[in-house]
Amino acid sequence: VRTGPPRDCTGNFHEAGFYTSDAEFLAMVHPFVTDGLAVGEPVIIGYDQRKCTLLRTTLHHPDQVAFIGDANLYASPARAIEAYRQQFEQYVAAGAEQIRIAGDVPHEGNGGRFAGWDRYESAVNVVWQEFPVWSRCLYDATTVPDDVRDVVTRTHRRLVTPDGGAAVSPRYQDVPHFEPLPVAADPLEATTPSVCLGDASLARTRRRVAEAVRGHLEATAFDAFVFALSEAAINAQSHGRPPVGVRVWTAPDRVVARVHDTGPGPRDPLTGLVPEPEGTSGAGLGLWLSHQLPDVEISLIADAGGFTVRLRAGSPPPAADAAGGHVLRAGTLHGTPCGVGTVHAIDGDGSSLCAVIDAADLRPVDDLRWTDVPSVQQCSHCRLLTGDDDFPQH
Amino acid sequence: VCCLYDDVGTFRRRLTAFFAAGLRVGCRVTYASPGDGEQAREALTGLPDLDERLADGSVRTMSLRDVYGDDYLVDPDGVVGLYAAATEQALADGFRGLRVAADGSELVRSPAHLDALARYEFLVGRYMADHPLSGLCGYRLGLGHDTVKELASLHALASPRTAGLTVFGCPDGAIGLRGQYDPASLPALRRLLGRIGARGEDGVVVDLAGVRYVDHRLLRMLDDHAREHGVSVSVRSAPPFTARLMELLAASGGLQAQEGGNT
Repeated sequence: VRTGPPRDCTGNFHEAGFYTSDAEFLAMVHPFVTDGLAVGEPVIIGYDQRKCTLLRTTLHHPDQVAFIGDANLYASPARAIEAYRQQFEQYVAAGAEQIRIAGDVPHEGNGGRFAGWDRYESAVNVVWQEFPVWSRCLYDATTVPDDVRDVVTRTHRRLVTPDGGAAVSPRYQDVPHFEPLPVAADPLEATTPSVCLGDASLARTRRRVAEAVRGHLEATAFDAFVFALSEAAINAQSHGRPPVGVRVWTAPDRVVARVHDTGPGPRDPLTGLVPEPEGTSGAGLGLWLSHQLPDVEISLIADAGGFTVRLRAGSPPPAADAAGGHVLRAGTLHGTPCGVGTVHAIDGDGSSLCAVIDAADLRPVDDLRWTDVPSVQQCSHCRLLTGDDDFPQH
Repeated sequence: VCCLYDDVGTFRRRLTAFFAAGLRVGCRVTYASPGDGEQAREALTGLPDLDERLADGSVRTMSLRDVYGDDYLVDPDGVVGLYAAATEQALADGFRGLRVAADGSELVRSPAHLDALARYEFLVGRYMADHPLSGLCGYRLGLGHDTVKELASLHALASPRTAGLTVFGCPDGAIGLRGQYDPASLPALRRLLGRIGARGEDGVVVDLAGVRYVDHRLLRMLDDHAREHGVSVSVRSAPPFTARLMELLAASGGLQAQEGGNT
């Protein structure tokens, strides 16, 4: 028998709350945990070390709680879904009648990246349907970005408050109707791609991409990236509508790729987040496996132009606010597209580092770091001045 | 070497070139002909000094029936033994090795014939890997896409080049895969594993050292094969990413039979 508000529900009872202080955090999490422990329900807590310690000190038997400080669990949304599923299976097999979990997903406010987790927060309303799960997602209102807060209210049926209150979220969207956040273009996408293929064979696609990406990623990320790209290309070729385009952009320590077809994309909002091992083509399984790889961030983008799988691997892109600091930005004359030798390094005063171009005529390329610009596109005079180890001085 | 042809003239040209190159490096060449001695001679007219060559034993002919039996149902071990003996003889006669050629199209008569032929091609390939024997097999494209694809993938080289992996026997009995992986060729590969008898009692070892890229489709195909034939299949020398895939597949229930031992 399930206890608490989910007593007549099946599947995941998914609620969220916002706190503005440690006291409010504890007000929402402490009774949730202790009530569960009192009736022998397994409790899983997935917060950062500081909040776990905070909670632990208030419990008589903290050892009865499964604290997962393992960052690996939240390495990717699909991985978290699968890892939790395996844990739930064990708890249910051991006789659990309800499992309580509380945690928060990575977002820019807690030092992580929210990309992809919007789909997770929506999907978990249905993917654990066979398990009696009560999940309480608590977010720090002082750090959570607006778009994340917006997603939270659209993906949790119930919102709880520190005073013990609870209300139905009026903005909740059922999984099939959930509108994911728009996927922001990666700054690298503004540069000239290293690979640009149209309707290429799978073997050629794999070869060209591997050539372009080798040396930009360490071995395990390289393997994962080539696999994920290959699966995206197979899906586009077998389920999408031609032409199928593949573009890859590379910076010294990271890569971005887009696999595009002109079809509408998969209809299932859970695509890639749950395995489809019964599929004869293995395509759904391939996309799921790709989503399990923590080294590759995957975004599925459906728009008027068709369907795109965007892959990113390597170091995270430079933060927008890093520009203007010690990191040199990149810019072009009057904002023209990046081309061979046309990108300049922008100095602290907003002028071109090489001083060949008038400061007023130089426009920064969207949050693009100078070091992310492929060397052929870099102005040779700026290159001379930066004297980066990568570029020999003349 | 495998030559897939539409026009028998294509096979003849390859045959002549294959033998001429063999003679230049001091090998004996032997042609197994579907017809009589005169027809065999006619197939070889492109070779220089043919009469002298036939007389001095550097060029030999025999009939397909002599090698493969009256009903063309190949005895895989028997024929490999026969070619092994012929190779030893060529060495004893002072040649540097033996090149044999045959148009195998006539040998493909029934599923049982194809099973036996595929098994033979696999075994003779293993023998060739460490003996001075090489061979040219011709197959008519009219045998059907699936059939020629399977037969071609049992040869280190095929023309025209066919997509997908080639299958070969490792010296220690393992089944080796090599080349450019193509998921579309998996059904042919799976049929081939059945034909070449990949169902040893001690389990089957598949060597992936020659494969650069592997995906879950190949691993699941091997898993399906293992379950269908009730054998254990393990892979070795696989690309490092294989281990990650197997772990993920096993956890999700995507691999059911026991598979592992990635050494």
